[in-house]
Amino acid sequence: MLNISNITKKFKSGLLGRTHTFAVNNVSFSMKAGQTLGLVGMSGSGKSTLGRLALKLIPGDTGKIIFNGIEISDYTMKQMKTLRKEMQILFQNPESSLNPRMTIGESLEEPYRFHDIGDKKYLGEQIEEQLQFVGLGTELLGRRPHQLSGGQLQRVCIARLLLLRPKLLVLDEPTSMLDVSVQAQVIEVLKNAQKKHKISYLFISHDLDVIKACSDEIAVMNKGRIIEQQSAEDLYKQPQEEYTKQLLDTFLNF
Amino acid sequence: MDNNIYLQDVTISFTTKAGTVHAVNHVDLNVNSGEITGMIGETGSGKSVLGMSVLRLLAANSLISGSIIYKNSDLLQLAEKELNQIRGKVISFIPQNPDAAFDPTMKIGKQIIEGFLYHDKKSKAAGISHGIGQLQNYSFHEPQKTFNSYPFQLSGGMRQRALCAMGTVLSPKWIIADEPTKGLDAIIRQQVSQVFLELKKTANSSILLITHDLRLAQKICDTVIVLYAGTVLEQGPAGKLFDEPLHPYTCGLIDAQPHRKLLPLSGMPPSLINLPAGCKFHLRCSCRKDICCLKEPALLEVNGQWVRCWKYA
Amino acid sequence: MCNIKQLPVIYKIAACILMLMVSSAIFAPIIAPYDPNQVLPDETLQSCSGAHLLGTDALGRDVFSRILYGARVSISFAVAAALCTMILGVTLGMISGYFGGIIDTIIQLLVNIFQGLPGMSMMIAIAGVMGPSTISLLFAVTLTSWAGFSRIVRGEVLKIREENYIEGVRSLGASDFYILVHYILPNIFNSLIILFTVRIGTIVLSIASLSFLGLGMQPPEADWGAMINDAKIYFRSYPNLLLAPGLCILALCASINLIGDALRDLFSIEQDRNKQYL
Repeated sequence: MLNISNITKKFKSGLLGRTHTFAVNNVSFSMKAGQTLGLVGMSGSGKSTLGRLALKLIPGDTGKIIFNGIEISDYTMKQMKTLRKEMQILFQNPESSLNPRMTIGESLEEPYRFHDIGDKKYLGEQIEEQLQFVGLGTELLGRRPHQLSGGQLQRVCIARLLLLRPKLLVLDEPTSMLDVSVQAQVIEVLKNAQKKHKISYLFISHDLDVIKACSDEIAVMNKGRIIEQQSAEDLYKQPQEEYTKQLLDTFLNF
Repeated sequence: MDNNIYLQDVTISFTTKAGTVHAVNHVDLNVNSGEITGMIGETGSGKSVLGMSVLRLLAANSLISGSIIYKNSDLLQLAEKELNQIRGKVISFIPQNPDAAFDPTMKIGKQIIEGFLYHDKKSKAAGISHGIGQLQNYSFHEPQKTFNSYPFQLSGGMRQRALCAMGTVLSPKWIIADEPTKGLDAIIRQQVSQVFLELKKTANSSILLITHDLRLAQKICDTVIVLYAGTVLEQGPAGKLFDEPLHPYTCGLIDAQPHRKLLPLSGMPPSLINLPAGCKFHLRCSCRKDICCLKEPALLEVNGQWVRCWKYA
Repeated sequence: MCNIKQLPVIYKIAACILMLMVSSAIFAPIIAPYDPNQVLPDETLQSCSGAHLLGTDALGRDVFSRILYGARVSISFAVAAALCTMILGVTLGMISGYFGGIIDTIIQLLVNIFQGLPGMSMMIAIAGVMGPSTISLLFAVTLTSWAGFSRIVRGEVLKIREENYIEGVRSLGASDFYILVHYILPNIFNSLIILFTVRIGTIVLSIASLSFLGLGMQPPEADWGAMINDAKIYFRSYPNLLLAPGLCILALCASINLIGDALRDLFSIEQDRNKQYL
């Protein structure tokens, strides 16, 4: 459903932008519908940049993105708008993912402002249904983000994304700021959503445990490149690359 | 005379607009010296507050009662001046979040040796050579260069290590580290945990490790304390506690880990303003009995572990 | 958000002073015992008395009545000019900070030019070229003070633009205009209130200076700034002439600034440092 080939993103730095850093260097991968591709790498490996490139939240320098058979690499931001409904992102830090000045209810109504989905009554029902789905009650609607815990906020964010019935979700370290017990809750919600709506996940994380528990396939990223991609089981059993071996070693024997 | 820290009936509350927050409730603990003691619990369990209270680092709206005894003196009763002789030198605190713990406009080295110059009244040259040596101990490849860098020039892992270097510059007897691996990736976490093991072995320091990283606690701690809503629910040797947890909450935490069952703990921690009656955990507990809602169980010894649960009473 | 009742008493005093000033400006024709421009040749330079509460000036005009009518001019003009400044400064600052790139470069170039020019001489030049009138005064004040405003707004926008929730709503499909109005503007609102209130104070003082140069409010219209300038020859012997409008300007600026602080507290999202324990 998502096909990315040879995508590259350089960041300029230094005096007059003379130093180029390759955040993402000639990366290709593809994702299947309803499955999870885990993207694992250490800090600074370029995995978050790659996630944003895949959604065209930032423009890439070169490369091709094909989403559901349509090439979107050259789409302008305006052309992207209709596709936005289908491709969404969930962030690492739930505390800064919602507008602090809006109530939870106002934030949840937002997706409907940008896309013509249904009337007001339908909207209320949908919001209630999605909140219930993520395990929250409607009493939260009048509160503001700072009154909620991290786990609750992250679930509100998930409910907000699900309202648009996305086909592709980029999960950018969605549980790394949460407690172990809450992390399990959030992952459960994400898995249920995937089952129910057949969403494809690009799950970005540095936690090999979490990645293993969530992914069908795993890609390992290092210094802007994907160095290895295998099914989750195979990767943990027989890693091909030296770097992957090291990584698994450090983490799992920790 | 031993070097243990004894917490006796420590209760900490905060006065806020919403009401009184009971962050820590009647905690009795012996934290043994020469060990790494892990203090684990969810956000809001009071673990950081308890750690900070040892050196009286809490905000002005806090209210502490009970006593924290170290070497026959009560740290909560000491005058500020006497406490300053202990802070950093005898007991040091390594705060959370290395991004915010350094002054961004001051070079790393200068910040690291500040405590050294303050306590030991040595010359600046001695301080600098000591600071560079200190960085070398924390496996910085170019200690001289790091010493003269600003915080923003270091990576997250380097900052965390530098923070540890700063906390241990006076080779304190006790180190209280607050979430030293929060948000770090596997490789850096490995480095940081190595640092603590090293400290215990070579410097013979005692460490109180506050963390929610169960894997870290399992790996490097000798004793583990489980806190929930400001109360100790379970305490015991790390190996035993993780292999045969007694309290339903500890079981729940362990099962929630992704490499175990990834089983969510239902519900949320209770509000610390209106604490539940009886056992603090009874609202989320799967083996709840009638008595759990009424009366709080005592901390009892079961097979060398301490647990606060009616199941074992 | 905090409750209005919980605000410190000083803010309430400030609100009372401002209300008193605004209402006395509105009801000046009813309250004022004399026509502010009525010249009484027999009663020049009188000190405070029952007939003339604050005395009279060199032309025998009643100072109290002039203060009341002056409030009308000073307050309404200062608010109008501050609003114009804010609208221009905020619009350009938001566009500059949000879109970045070449637009940002051009706007910042303009900001630098306007900030580099000495404000007072600019104001004199503009008011001089356009001739003294309320419109030209408004134009002069706005043109010389929007730059600082927009620079601060731009800084705030740059900070907020990086927040996750902006990226999040963009990925939901929000337009730039929607983000600017619903996300950026409410989140810089606190700074705007403070900037706005400080600006009112400065503008009252600017008009006073311009009036002194004959480019501000035209005599015989009563204006606090002009009154101070009229009084400066006599203030050693008749300090009431200087003190009355001076204290009024002080009270106005101080109360507006305090109210700005109070509004900021009211609208700010409570940064409760104890949240982590709740």
